[in-house]
Amino acid sequence: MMVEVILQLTVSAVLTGIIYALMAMGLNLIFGVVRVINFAHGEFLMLAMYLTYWVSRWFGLDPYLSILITVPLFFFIGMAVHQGILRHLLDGPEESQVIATFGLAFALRYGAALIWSTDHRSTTSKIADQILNIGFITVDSAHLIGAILSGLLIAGLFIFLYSTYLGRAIRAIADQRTAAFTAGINVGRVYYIAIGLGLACVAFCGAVIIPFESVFPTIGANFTLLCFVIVVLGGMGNLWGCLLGGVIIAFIEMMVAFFLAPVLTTFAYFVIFLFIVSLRPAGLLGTKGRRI
Amino acid sequence: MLEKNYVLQGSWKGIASPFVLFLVLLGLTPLVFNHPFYRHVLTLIFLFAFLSVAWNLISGYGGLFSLAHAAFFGVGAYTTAILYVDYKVSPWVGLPLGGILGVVVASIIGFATFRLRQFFFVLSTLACYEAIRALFGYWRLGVKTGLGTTIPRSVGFMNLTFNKELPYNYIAFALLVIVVLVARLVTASKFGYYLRAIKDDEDAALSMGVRVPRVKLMIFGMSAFFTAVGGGFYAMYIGYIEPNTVFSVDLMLQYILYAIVGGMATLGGPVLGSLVLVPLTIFLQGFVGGKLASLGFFIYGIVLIVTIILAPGGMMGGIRSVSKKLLRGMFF
Repeated sequence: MMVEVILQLTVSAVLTGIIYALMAMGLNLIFGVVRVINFAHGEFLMLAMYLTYWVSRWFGLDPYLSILITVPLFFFIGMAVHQGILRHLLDGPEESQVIATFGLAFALRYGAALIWSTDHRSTTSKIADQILNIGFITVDSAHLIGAILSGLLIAGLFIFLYSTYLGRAIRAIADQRTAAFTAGINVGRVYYIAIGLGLACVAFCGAVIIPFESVFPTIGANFTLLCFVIVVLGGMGNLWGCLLGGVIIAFIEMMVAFFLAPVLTTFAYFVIFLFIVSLRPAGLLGTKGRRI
Repeated sequence: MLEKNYVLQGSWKGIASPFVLFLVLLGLTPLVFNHPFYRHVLTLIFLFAFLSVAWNLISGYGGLFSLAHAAFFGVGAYTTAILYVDYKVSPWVGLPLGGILGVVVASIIGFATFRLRQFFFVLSTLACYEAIRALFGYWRLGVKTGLGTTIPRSVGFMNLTFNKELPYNYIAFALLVIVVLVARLVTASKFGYYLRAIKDDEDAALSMGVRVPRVKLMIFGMSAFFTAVGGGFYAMYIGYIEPNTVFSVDLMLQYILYAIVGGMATLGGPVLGSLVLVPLTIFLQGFVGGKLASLGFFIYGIVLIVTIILAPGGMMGGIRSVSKKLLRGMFF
């Protein structure tokens, strides 16, 4: 019995963890390249979920198909955020970036509440509401599809980062900004792309999450914290770390929610976070100097 | 020349400044406005200026942007309220006790996170706040009062409950004056120099023999103490507390905003910011309200972004540059 429960939780954790990992990768990409922590990350997720919801309401489009609309849109939103806000603050003190993204988080959260009220909204896909039984393990298709799609995108992201010129430029900047600049990489332009990609990851997550999580304006705050913990656990600026961190955090979250109480998951994040930052500030896979 | 400037800045001479005059005038305002509503607004102005100056201690002077203050505020509010409602302890004892509990919480966060730099510190304060709020939702503290508690009104000085608004005005004002004096003492003392050194360059300060963790812990503790006291006063003043209001980031956002718009790391900035923005907040919440209740926070978010991009020095930065230009026009 116990073994079965733990096995079940592990499978669920891996599926959820992959989606979390993609979400955290967005944050980590922005941090690794632009050296800015996006405190509005969860709010962008919320926005993506709303967008997916409305696209499926208005056009009757399946949430998984709406990715084709939301992801490119969020890429441009990311560029706009850089153009309008972050670009001006890169040379300033770190706290000014914190304040700006913190302010952005509030503007988005309450802007959403203003427009869409605080009702919980959810939509689902025809293929996402099935329950699959594999042996004694039960999986719902929403998590399964979400994890598979996220896994594919993560793979695509890695292929992009490792085998295209632009991807290598991104990694070069994350590694050594000045050296990349002197090697002739247009650092300023790559920033736009990195932030665009970061938000595109979030948009993707929003679409695969909405079949099993309803959206409301304040949902973002918790996800922001979740992404931070994953990023710190895996290693700031290390995308592989996100994958590991995502699964570990999802596993711990499931264990705490199952054996203790669902309310305590936030507390668990905090304890993990403190352990990591005091014992191994570089994270599990992070090493100094090498990023992304 | 530079040294001389620093000495001037740090001496007591500076206290006989336009700011003192401003504070005195502010103290007289409750006598001028005798309508209860205006006095209510003034109490809130003083209270938020108090909280704003307290937050500015760590985040402005210390350069450590803290998001854990919502937790200190809540801890203070609950300590005072539980002691008063369940154990009949006077708020005058409850306020400092809540403050001390705030310091304890701050020390726990501090020990764990002060080795961390900027971003990590912000993250860990946020994580800490969320953790404390989660614990509060789960634990329920084993107290007789539920989590949402109405504080019974029995008028009397010892109960910090009054029928009129004026005593609240002056208690809040006294709190404000105390925290301003402390902030002044901090900046004028050797301790303040350590703080400034740490803010400028932590490694350099460390190598010059500044006990960095200790200085950080002290300023964080002070800031937490006052914030928790503010929380206790808020609980007694409003007369009703629940986790969603006293442990809310929304409330914290307000005094963070006032400090930033007024001017971080300045003595007058948070007070000025509160004076200008609290009435606006009350207007937005009270008059617009209802379906547009989120409008206020939406605007705050925008104001934060615009301020930090266009005028990172806030109002005080503006005043300083204008007065410098005026002086130059007069004397040179």
